[in-house]
Amino acid sequence: MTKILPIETQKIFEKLTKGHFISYDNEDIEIKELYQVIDANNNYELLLEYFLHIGFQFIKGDSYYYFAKSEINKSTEDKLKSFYKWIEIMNFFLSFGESINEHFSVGKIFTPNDIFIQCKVNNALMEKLNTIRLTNSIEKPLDKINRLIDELRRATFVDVFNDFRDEYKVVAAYHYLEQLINTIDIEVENEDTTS
Amino acid sequence: MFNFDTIREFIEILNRERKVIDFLFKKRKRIVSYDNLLSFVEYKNEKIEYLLQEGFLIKSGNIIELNDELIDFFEKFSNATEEINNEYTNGLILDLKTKIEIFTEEKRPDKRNEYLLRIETSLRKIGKNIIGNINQIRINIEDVYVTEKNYKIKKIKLDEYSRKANQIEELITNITKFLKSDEWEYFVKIAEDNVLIYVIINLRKDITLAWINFADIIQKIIDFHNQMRLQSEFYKKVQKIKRLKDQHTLTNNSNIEKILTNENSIFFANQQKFTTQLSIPYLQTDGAFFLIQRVIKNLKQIKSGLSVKSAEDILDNQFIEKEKAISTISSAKIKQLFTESGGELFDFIQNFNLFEEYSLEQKTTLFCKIASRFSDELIHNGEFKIFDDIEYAVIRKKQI
Repeated sequence: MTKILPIETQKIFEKLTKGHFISYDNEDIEIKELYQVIDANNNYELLLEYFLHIGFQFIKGDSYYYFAKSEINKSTEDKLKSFYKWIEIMNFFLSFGESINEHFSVGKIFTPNDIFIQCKVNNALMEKLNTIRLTNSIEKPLDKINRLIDELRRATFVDVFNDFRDEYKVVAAYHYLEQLINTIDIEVENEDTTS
Repeated sequence: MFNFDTIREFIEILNRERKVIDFLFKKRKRIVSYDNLLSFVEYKNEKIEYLLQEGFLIKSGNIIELNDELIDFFEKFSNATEEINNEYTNGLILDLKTKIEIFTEEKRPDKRNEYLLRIETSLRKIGKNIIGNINQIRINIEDVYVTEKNYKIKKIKLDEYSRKANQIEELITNITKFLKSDEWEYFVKIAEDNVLIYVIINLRKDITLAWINFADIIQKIIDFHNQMRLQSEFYKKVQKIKRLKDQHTLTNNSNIEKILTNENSIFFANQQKFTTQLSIPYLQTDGAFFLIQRVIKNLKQIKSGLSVKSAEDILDNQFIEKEKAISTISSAKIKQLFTESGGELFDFIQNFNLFEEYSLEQKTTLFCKIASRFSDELIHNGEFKIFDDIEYAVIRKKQI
């Protein structure tokens, strides 16, 4: 077993400190290779220890890696605000999946146009799209869908699958959001019967 | 029915068209269209037509199948696995029981041996079929789970495979029960045949293997069902969280605040920035020299307070009001001046000193304008004059 850090350590560090995830099924070859490097031999353990010394927790999820710190420069209110945004986005994309009888989850391949078409035939989905406010300006539905996908892409939850056909793929990092939501306990007595 | 006269002819047809028949036999569980077959008969339609006519193939719509009797024949011959269903299970046990009964009643040794052989073949086939079917189900389940996107269809297909798995389970149970029955043990005892014992041992081995595989498959089906259930529940949960969020009650009704307080992934943080000092060896290089110069320049700008980007100064002369003169001619004023001075209108306009820069054409236009507009105050007595190739009417002030 080697004790030398992989030469990609800097790249890994730079990716992760941006708040990005390194997923097993990234379409970007560079990131995919980083995942393979981390996964190979005992590199994960080495990096884990190394990063811990400089104050980063190197966390291994279900086929993805990310960074955490013991404390970050964000208040709970700010985090909550950010979380609300992701709930809105996820709710929309999950509803899209429901609309075509498919689960919007890791591995799903979709195009902005697929979603747009569903919005046109499913008014509830269109309303969900309309209620999401990312900017103050009014956007066309397809532009807005593209913006939402871009949000997911920039947070490395989806990746461009086929640029020519405008296809995107949900990658393993999306498990992070699922995991986060799964840990939330909701008090039962407040449950509505409408759900 | 087949239309042939001799067995030889039949075998010859089989041999000649073995490619098509082999292909159709392999694809007997699938749908094969007419066009798929053409490549096997060198694109000669008449060959397929001949086979259809002779009853080797059956056509329904555009779908071509091998004659059922041929399929049965080949299946028996090649020991291909048969699909296990209730009918198969019941039929098999019944068949075995009948054969055993005949075997015990039969007194002629050669006939007894024939039945013993038949029983052994049946037993061999059972083991093979069970394993074959289980493998098939496993492949199908994994296939469906990965390729089928629509989860409603996925669920239907999984249920179907689950049903088939249950039928295999039933067969295994029945066979095991049968192998333990007195009837069977008695038969094994009176048969006294080593091959039979060997076949039974093999069958028991197959059954054990099948049980292990079977448990695994059931586990897989349950797992897949659970995954689908979790996905649906997840969707409901997100919707519920969204609703609570919209009602502003999420923080009160859930542990979200606590979770987020403890969640310190960089995902929620701003991008990490690191400031480091430059090394002295680096500062001694040429590359660093330009960097230092740039830094000095920036520093100077900051000191002189120019770091804030501002628009260009407004020049003083931009504040001076410019008068813009647009000269227009008031025809009423001209007319007034004309009536005061008297004389001819055309002469007056030609000689009016303000109109020096006006061309003859412009002056003429003005003349016409005044003449027409104030026609009731001016008079034309029918006299015409010529000036510079222009013939004009002599217009004077009306005498009151």
